Amino acid sequence: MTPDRIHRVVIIDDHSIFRSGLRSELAPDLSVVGEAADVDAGVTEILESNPEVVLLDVHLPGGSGGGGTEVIERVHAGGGQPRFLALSVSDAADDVVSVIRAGARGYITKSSSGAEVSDAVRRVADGDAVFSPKLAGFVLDVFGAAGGETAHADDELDRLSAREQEVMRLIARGYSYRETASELYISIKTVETHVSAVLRKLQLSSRHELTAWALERKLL
Amino acid sequence: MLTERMSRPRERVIAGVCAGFADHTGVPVAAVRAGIAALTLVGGSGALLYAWLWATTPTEIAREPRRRDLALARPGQRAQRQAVQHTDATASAAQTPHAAHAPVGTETAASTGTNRRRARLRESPAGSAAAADTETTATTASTHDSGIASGGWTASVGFSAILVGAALVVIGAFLVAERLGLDVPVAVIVPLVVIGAGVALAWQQVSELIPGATRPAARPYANVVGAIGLVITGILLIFANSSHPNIWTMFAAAFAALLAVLIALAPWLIRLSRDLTDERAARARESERETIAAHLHDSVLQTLAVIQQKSPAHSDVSRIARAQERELREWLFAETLGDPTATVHDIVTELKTHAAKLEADYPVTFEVVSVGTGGSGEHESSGHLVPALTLAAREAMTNAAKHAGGAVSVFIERGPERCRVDVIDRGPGFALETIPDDRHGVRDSIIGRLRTAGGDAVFTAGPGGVGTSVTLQSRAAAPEASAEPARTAQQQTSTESSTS
Repeated sequence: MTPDRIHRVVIIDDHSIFRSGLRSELAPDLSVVGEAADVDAGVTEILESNPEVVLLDVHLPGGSGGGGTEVIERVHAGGGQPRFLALSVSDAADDVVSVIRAGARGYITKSSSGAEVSDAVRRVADGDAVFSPKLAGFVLDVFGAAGGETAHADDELDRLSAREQEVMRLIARGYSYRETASELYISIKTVETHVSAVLRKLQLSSRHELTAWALERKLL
Repeated sequence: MLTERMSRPRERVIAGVCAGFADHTGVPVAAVRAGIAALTLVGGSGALLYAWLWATTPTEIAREPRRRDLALARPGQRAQRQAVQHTDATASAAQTPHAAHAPVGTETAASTGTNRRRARLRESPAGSAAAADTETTATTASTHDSGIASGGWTASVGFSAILVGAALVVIGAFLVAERLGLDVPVAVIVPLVVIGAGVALAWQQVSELIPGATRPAARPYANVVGAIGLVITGILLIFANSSHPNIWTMFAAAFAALLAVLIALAPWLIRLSRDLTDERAARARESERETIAAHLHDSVLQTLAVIQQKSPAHSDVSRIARAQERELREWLFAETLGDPTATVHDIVTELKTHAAKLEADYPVTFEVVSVGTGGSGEHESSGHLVPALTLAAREAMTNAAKHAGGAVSVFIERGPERCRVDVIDRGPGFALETIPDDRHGVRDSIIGRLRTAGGDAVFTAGPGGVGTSVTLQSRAAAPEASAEPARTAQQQTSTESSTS
């Protein structure tokens, strides 16, 4: 949430209409330094222009067919350290979780407004995670929160702590970070910390359900 | 009662043949039994007739499971179907849960529940024309998928049963002839009968090749092997019995055996090649569909997203684009998952459909998020708790669409013991006390309905004190009456007015 800083952004999407649309909608403190339309061009572009944040479509042509996931993996292999924000037209958890597992810091749908996208980009640039209600719902699902499982230690990877569950519940209910913070009487920073912790668990956890779920959908 | 087609009843003395025959012809059972017994005493033909009828008459079709399927249909459909079925039943018109009444919310969950139960009771005597109609459908349906018991038999009975019957008649004739002192050439007859049986068995499969008669072969290999065995045995019997074996008879025997094998295998081979062709065609169709789906996903969905982004929020254009996007995505998603078993996701699909409908009518966008699977979905069928919750949630969503608009979140959480729905909007908010007494939307359709079903409804201010948050809960496992007063009190205290 620091609008005084200029963030360098690269947009990777195979639809030129969407790219130009997004470009014109982004807030002025976000400067688009590059665009690409497929996996190979995207990887080259990111490694060349070295942006802070990459807006990455989940479904991309080219490469070996891995789409956004492949871009993230190849950029990381090539030594690039940008942060990725996944964009998708689909709300299907399948699409989203593979890019999150690959290392994306968040996910928003393409129908989000320009202001929402800009906000999410700033968040990701500051090192925080961006959760949509759908993604939060999925997290609750896969970590068994609906069944009442709770982690007792904060570093337990396979479960969410009680506080993290509360935060995820509110986000899944459509609350913004600010609303979540005031509802739980904590600071926004604390909410962001919780959300980042959940993201880390989602990326690192080898929880049985998550693994089985991912295997079933050929994500691993 | 005369039956159209003879079948053997499930309650039977030996095999139900006599009872079935009596039902079919209208002759008293006792007379049929006496007749069979008398014929058995005269040279055993009664026993033969009994055996033949036993083999060729199908068992009566069980109808109960199908009927239960109908009763387990989704609540909405069920209500509609019952409305259709009981238009001619007395005293049902006023009570039948009409779809048109639901949004107004004049009825409570209790009355819906009892109506449904009453309607189902009324259904059981199966007296009305509509019920009989359903039964016919059920019968046709089960004829298609139950194997040898029903459909397969009616398809093949015309051919193989006649052969079997003819064979039995021939045997009977020879038995009678032998008694009368005629010299029967058993050495010729037995092999011929065996060959006939083999061919009949093999060509029984021919009936399966006729399009429309889609009976999965119960034991295809056993059939083929049995047929070949019988035919070869018969041929060998003929030639082994011939008095002067020479090179030519042996050669003829071998050739005949080979031919017999080919004939017996022919239906099987034909079916195999046809299956292969069908499968190839299906695969081609499937891949074509996938190509189209991928194309739609890449082009049309993206365009719809851009339209939504570029058009003013909640304008007509963005609403149409959103509705289209939802429709298309559902189609694509259903295509890839191929999982139309909607019973487990009942409340979720119901609310999603409702959200789509509301989005078309009001300037509102719903985000429906669901968590948990609700166990194996057994509490969905165990009573009116979840239906009540669904109806109350629909009412809350309609209110949010009408009075708040904008972005509305619907959050469904289903655990093993409880089910909970939150409907959250960012509209002007409202105070329950200020609603006039003659408005039934909130009081009856949400609070009253859930209270009767054993749940509670809590109205609070939305996030950050803006808008309205409606929390609906039901406890599937909880006893309905005992915890009632406590819950009502809780609801009273937590029902607070919200300000914008």
